[in-house]
Parts: sequence; C-alpha cells; structure tokens
Amino acid sequence: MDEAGTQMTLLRKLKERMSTRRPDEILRYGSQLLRRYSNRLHDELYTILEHVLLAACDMGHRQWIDYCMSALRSKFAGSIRLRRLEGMVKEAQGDYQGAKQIYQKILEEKPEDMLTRKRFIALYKGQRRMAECVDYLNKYLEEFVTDTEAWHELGEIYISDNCLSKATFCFEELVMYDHRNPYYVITYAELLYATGEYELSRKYYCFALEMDDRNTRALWGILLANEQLHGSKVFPIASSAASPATDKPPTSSKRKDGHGSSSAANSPATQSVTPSTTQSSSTREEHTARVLTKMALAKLKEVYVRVKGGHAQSTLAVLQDMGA
Amino acid sequence: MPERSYRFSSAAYSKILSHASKYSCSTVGGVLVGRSEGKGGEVTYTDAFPLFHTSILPPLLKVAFSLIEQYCKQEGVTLCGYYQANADATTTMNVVSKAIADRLTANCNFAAVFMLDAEKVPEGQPALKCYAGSRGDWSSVSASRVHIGEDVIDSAGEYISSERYVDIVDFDNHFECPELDWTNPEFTPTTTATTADEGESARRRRPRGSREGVTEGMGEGGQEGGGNDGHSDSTRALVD
Repeated sequence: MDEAGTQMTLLRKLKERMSTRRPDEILRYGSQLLRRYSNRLHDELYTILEHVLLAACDMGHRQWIDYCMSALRSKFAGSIRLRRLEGMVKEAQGDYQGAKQIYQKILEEKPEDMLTRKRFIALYKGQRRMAECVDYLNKYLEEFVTDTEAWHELGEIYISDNCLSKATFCFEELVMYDHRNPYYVITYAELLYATGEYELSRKYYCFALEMDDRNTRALWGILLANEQLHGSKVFPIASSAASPATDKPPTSSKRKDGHGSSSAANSPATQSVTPSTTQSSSTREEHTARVLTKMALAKLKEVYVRVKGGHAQSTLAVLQDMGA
Repeated sequence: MPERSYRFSSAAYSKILSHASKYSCSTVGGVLVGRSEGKGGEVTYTDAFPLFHTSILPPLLKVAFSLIEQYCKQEGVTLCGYYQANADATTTMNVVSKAIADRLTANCNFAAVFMLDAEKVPEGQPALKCYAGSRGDWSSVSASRVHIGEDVIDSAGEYISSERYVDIVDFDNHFECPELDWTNPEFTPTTTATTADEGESARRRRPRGSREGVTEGMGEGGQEGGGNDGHSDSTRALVD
C-alpha cells in the first residue's frame, strides 16, 4: 500500500474507534498517524490530537499526553476547550482539586458551558464519590433533559448499583429520544425483564427485531420472557406433549401467522373454541407466545447452524433442549 | 472453612488479563472453570469464559450461563469461579459480583471470586485478589493461597505485549456477532493441539480483521522493527 493509502486506512480505523471506549486502539492508530503523517493531516490534525490525548489519559501514557498537550497549546492557548482538556489531564493524573479549579474558573466565565458542567460528573466518579455523582447527574438532567450521554451514564450507574427500576427510567428516556438505537431498545427490554415486566419487555424485544431480525440478544430475550410468562408450555417440546384438547388457541389470533408456519399444526384454525372472555385472552396470549417462541428458536437455530466451533455446538444443544 | 488453595492455568489467567486489557475503561467479568483435587484440596482453574464488558443484566446473564453450563457438560469441567476487573481499578466485590458468586455457590461448594488488581499487572505480580465464602458472606483469602506461576504470568504478559489480547471474545462480542467464539480457542493451548490445529484457529480468526489491520498498518513504518509493534515503541520514537 502506498503512503496515502496507509494514511487513509489508519484514519478510517481511528475514526471507527473514536466513538468507542477503546483507548488502546485509539492510541495505537492515532499515534501512528501523528508520528508519520502529522504534516499531512490538515484540519483533522487537531481532532486527532484531542482524541489521542484523551486516550493517552485513559491509558496513563505520559509521553503522548505531553506531546498532544504542547501541540494543542501552541495553537489554541487560552481557549475554553483547551482549558477543559488541561483539567481532564489533571483528572487523569489524580489531581482532582486542580481539575476542579480549572472547571470552576471556566464556569465563572461561561456558566452555560455544558461540557464543563459534565466534567464534575467525571470528577465525582473518578473519586468514587458515587452518591454525589448521582445527585449531580440528576440535577444536571433537570436542566439538560435531552442529554442522552448523561442519561446513559446515570442508567449505567444505577445498573451497577442494582437500582434497576431507576435504571429502567433512564433507558426509557433514551428510547424516547432515540428509538432507532437498537442498543437502547434492547437494554430497555432487558431492564423491563429484570424488573418483572415480562410482557412489555417482550414487546421491546420484538421492536428490536423489527430493526434487525437476527439480533440474537432480542431472540434470546423473547424466549426468556415467554418462559417467565408461561413456563415451558410455550416451548415446542412441552406443547407437543400437552393434550391438544386443552391447548387450543382461538381462531382469531392470526397476527403473527407470517412468522411460524408450523404453528398451524398445533392450532388447527377450524376447531371452534368457546371459552369465557378471560380464558380467551389468556389463550390468545399463549398462542402469541408460542408463535414467538417458535420463531425465535427457528431464527437462532438458523444463525447457529452456520457457525463453526465448540460454542455453536453447545448453543445448538441448548436450543434443541428447548425444542428447536 | 478449609484452607483451600487456588491455582491458575495460563489459559485462564491470560484470558482474564486480555479481557481486562481490551476493555480497560469498563468493568469486565467472566466465569472460571476447573476442578478440585479431593476434599478441601487445591482448586485448579483450567479455563475462563469472559462474560461482559457492558452492564450485566439478568436476561443475558441467564443465557450466557445456560450456554456455558452446556459447554461444561460437554467438556466435563465444573463452573467454579468468577473474575471481575472493576473499571475504577478497585478490588472490592460489588452487588453484581456478589450476585453472580452466590449463584455459583448454589451449584459448586468450592466456588471463589477473583478481583483483578490492575496495578500489579505491569509489575508482573500475581494480580488476583481472592474471595471465598458462601451465599451472601464473602471474605478475602490470603494471597499465599492463590498460586499463579511465573510461567503463567509470563505467558499472559505475552498476550498483552504482542497485542494478541485484542482477540479475546466475550459474550457481548458474541451476541453482537455469533461467529465470535466465547470459548476463545486461540487462548487455550490444548494438549492435543498440533501445528495444523493452530493454523486452523488462526484461519478462523481471520474474519475479525483487527489483527491484520494492526500488523499491516505498522509494517510499513519500518522503524518499529521485528514483531513488537506496541504503541509504546512508536511513542518513544516520537518523543526521543
């Protein structure tokens, strides 16, 4: 590959990782770019310097911190963004007091600076003062209610503290702001499951499948939610063993017929049922559960038969036990 | 409580360190499998299965456990330990690790928990703090009862310095892309492994691309030399 090609490859790899929390890789690709092509990066140079600086802070890489800081200083001395970075370097070095002073100074001049306000969250977190961190985040979110990053952070803290219903609230906000983000939707579904809202969790798992019908987390989630709702009787093995006379789905439930073709075998649509209304809705729900289970099992099996390796074999064995 | 001791194979220890290095900004955890020699004797951890680097939530954990349990049944090993590396580098057990540990003790009376002490990793010291106990009652175990041989530490260090740690696959990776194998065969030098087998596992790894990416990108600089393409070297080249 020629030099320009290498530069582009590195740049692409770096950019792919900028949004991830993988400082080791950002430092690896970024440092190569800076070392070999810094005179050819033009406007991108400063973005890369900033990312490499933050990655170096995470990795505790003194030399890269110094290099990036001095390069940025020579261009942006005195700017708020640079001062904030200086604070972040202090945080990384454990000088929380020094960092705090920098941030307070910035806020005196520019009280609306959201990014600086958010540094206080990191300050508390860095010092493991989690109660204050949560308080600050909640106050911050009252003001900046659409800051998804902050909702996410708060949700994660609640999860690690096992405050799952509070975490559910945070992820509900996230789903509201960005309902096309499969990660938010799946995590929300998992939290609903964890707090016992199995039916609702199944709906969000299904919603995630609409975005990506091979999302394995969602497929497994549907199986688990159905198991919680109906025990093993919605699984093919158990349901085929059950007496067909007591296991009749109503004729009207054909919403999901497109998914599981073989479900018709268990549910002959011609058979008439005359249950009371409550029984009817419960059998309809059972039917839905059965169809969804069948669909999820079939899709998971389809995914795993194509995968090689010991892990796929044991997964297929688990699926087989469930009736796939 | 019997004075049990714990020994780590290089596969298990390498996987723990690799998992923690790959996601150094996150809390990571995984389960340990192995066997116990006699009653109250030494527990040998032969392998580790990395679980997650994002938040651990009950449904996914349940799936991961049933997959691992099935695998253990096939391989004839016992699930008997849990490791965790906290994002903030502390070595205390949190609610999540306690819940998982409690779950393990339900099936295995010699299960123990190991928290990574990240500061000891660069020093080449055994870096696991051990907790043993039972449901809800976990107390720390003296470091003298945790055996991590020098060869084990060296071989784990190899994975870090050669940057092979990026190949570690956990359940988060696996659920995102089912082809990724959470048993991490390339970290497990089996006794029956031949060179042909190794070639096979290397080929299987290809699709992930990250390794080639690194080597290809670094190869052309011509300054780093040899196999060591660590960024620390590139830094030195720059700063000096």
